[in-house]
Amino acid sequence: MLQTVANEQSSRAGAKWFALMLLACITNGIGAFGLKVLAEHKLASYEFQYLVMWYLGWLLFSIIVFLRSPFRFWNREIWISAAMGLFSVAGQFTAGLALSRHVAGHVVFSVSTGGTLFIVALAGVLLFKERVGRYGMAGLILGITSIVLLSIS
Amino acid sequence: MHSGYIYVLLALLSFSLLGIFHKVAEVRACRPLPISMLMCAWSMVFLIVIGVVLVGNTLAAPGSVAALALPFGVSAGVAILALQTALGFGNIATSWLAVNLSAGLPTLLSIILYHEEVRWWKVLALILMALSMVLLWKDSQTQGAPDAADSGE
Repeated sequence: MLQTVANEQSSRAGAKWFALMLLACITNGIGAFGLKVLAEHKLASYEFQYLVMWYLGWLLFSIIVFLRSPFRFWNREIWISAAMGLFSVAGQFTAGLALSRHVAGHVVFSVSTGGTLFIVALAGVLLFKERVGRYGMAGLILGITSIVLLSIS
Repeated sequence: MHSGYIYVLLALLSFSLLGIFHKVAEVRACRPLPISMLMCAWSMVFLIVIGVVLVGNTLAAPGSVAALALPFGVSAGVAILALQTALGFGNIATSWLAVNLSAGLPTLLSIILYHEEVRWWKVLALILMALSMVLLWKDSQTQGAPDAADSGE
């Protein structure tokens, strides 16, 4: 009985996880598509300004959600998010530098995206003691393969 | 080693640490909205420091750039909030993959909206991405029932 209830709760958590990840996947893809639209409008020379405004859009969205139920920031949230912001910008900046040093785009994107997936999955298992089932493992292998394939230009 | 490849490795390290810190935030019980909001604010600060101070860009741009960037930025904000919330219900290994599979969406939209050339490996990559998402969905269904999943029941 208890086992059934626990399984039902886990299954509900799994369904909620998938719904949220589907939303994250679609909205993240749309968010990234903006750069293509920018280029198609012959505005690629404004990429830096575009990115600043892009972050502003994200910040405005966060502020609107925040205003619905305001809160105080915790110290650990400030420092962990600072590290995340730093790594996000550093990743984009160094990938851009690699491209400007004539490293082929398929190498930069295959290694930086495909390699990241592998390292984060490894960290999940080794550092955070996560269990990845056989479907998840197969998904990881197919996912990394697909991203490496997509990086080939 | 060619200096460009050092930047590729730095990009790999940065993006991997970004993924790992998403999980660190979840493990340290940080709330999704403050993390997303502060990450965006910090990223803007780092981007402006690099873009204006180091590279010498200006913030001036046509209004059309802002009009284009804001909605795509909002979309990215939704994505990061959904990802950080989802981490409370699932693994970083599979969550990071799911959010990175979004790379297929700009490719698909470019083919549909801008009639970008369709190459066989792009089609294959998109099919593998869809299959990977199905496997992740299947994995989320078997969460909480690892024995059944492992034994193939």
